[in-house]
Amino acid sequence: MEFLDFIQLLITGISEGSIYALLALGFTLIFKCTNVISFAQGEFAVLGSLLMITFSEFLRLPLVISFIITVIAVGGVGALFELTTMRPLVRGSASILNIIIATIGVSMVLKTIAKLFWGAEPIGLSSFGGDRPIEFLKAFVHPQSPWILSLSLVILAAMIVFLDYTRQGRALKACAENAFAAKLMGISTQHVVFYSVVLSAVLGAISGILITPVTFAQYDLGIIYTVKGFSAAVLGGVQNPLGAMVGGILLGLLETFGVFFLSSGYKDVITLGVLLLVLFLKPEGIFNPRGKG
Amino acid sequence: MRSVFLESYKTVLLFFLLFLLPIALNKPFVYTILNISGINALTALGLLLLVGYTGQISFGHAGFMAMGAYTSAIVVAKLNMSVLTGIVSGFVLTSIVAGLLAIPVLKLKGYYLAMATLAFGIIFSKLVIELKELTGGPVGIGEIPPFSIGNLTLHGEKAYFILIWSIVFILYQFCKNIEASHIGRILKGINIDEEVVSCLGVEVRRIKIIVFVFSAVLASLSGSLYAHYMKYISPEVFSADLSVFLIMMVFLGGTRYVWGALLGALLLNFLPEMLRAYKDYSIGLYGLALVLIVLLMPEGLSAFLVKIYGITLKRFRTPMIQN
Repeated sequence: MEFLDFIQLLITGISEGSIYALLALGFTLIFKCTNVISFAQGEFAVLGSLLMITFSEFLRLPLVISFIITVIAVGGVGALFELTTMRPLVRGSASILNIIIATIGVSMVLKTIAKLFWGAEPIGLSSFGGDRPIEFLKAFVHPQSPWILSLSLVILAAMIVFLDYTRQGRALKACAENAFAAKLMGISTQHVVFYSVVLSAVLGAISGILITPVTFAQYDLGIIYTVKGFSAAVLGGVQNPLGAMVGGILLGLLETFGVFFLSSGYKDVITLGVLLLVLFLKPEGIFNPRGKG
Repeated sequence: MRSVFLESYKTVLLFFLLFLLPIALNKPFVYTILNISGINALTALGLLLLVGYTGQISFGHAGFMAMGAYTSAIVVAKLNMSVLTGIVSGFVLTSIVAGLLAIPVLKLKGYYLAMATLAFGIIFSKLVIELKELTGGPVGIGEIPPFSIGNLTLHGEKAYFILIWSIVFILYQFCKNIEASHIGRILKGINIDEEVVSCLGVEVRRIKIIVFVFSAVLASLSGSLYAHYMKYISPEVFSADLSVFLIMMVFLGGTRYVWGALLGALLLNFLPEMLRAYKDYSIGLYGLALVLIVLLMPEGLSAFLVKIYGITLKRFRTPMIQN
């Protein structure tokens, strides 16, 4: 491998990885206070990318405005998901099996809605700063990569600030530590669950928006996003937001370099193989001390 | 003895009614749907034991169906061997792969098990697409010979209907017997509390692996039957969606009664035909039904029907002198 290839793969890997990091963070946020893994997580990314295409490509709205409307709309769908499905499930303390089935049900509903409105064909979105490849250290990278890198970095940093320095973020952490004690301290756990689900839908939407110019948008990509986001979350430890981010970037790098050495058809095989390997060998994640998973 | 006799009498009646169904409906496509339902029902029965009774979810069984289908197709269509050899080599391959997968995968629980099996299913379907020389890649394998034993070759929908549903009948009875035996109680015990069962001296790990491999072999059988029935297979038939579809059959039908799996398989194959006008919405409607079933009647349709049956029976038996 030449140095130029290396630079190119490194940048592609990190930018793809930061998408996975955003998806993984969505899983972590919900899991922290409810112990629920939502199989509908990837559908929010699909909705995000499809809505973004509608607003910016079809309706020709400015990028920033389309972005904001999309995020708000998907956040609304997330709120609806929480009120109609998550809340009864959590309140009725449904079994894990039933939670899996119900969230799969939701993902099927969202998938059908996406297919009805946007059809089955893949749709593209042009990169945020024009479609000319960008030269970096003499290597050519995808024009979307710097956007992905910078925006996801900002969002990941904002999430850390949110979790550590705001009232809501600390309430979320308290719920994760001990929901009952948090309740006794006057924290409304129901409220915390609500905004963590909405927030994770928003994170999903953003990751979908950012990745679309690189790949494309299609109604049935949700399950792949779900599994990859979960893989990243598992890699870093599902309880640990910082670990989930690092796990995402690691996964992106593994995938990009793996594809370079094998072939692009094996892209998902590599990621999911990594997931299986981590689950079999160290299911608590590679950044968590044993037993804290 | 009486109850055993009664139970098998009910089974025979159930299947007698089922065999009357195509005659009663008298439409050409009914056999096709019934045959596909029966093929799905075979996998659903295995999943009922694994997911419904033992509580170990799998989203990878479409992968095992693909394994059976492709092994059959390659052995019979490409190597020109007999159909039975194809099916049995499917069994052998599937049990080896399922056994090797089960050892690490069944250490996982809940979400992790679900994601791991889903990952396995997706990996397998991608491998089927990539290994073009063996599997025909995205195009698949066509011109698979029909099912035959010795000189007897099956032709026509009715012949397949009898073959498929006879196999379903035998396996249905088998699953019912398992449920009624001490093994059934062990499986249900594992679902409720693994540790308690293992404290009672049951080798939980071994039993879980055996059930996993058994359900995988059933999936392989149904895949082989599918290949010989449809005569054409392609990777998109055995996608992750099929795995979800199969799990849906088990949960819509309900896990309390064995016939729930049959009900689920029949329902999910007949509904698309009946709701043809709403074809675009059908997946979404199923999704909605799943959410509602989990929230409103977590034991599924079969338990719900039995409950309603019980209530109406009571109405008839007790004289109505409320006022």
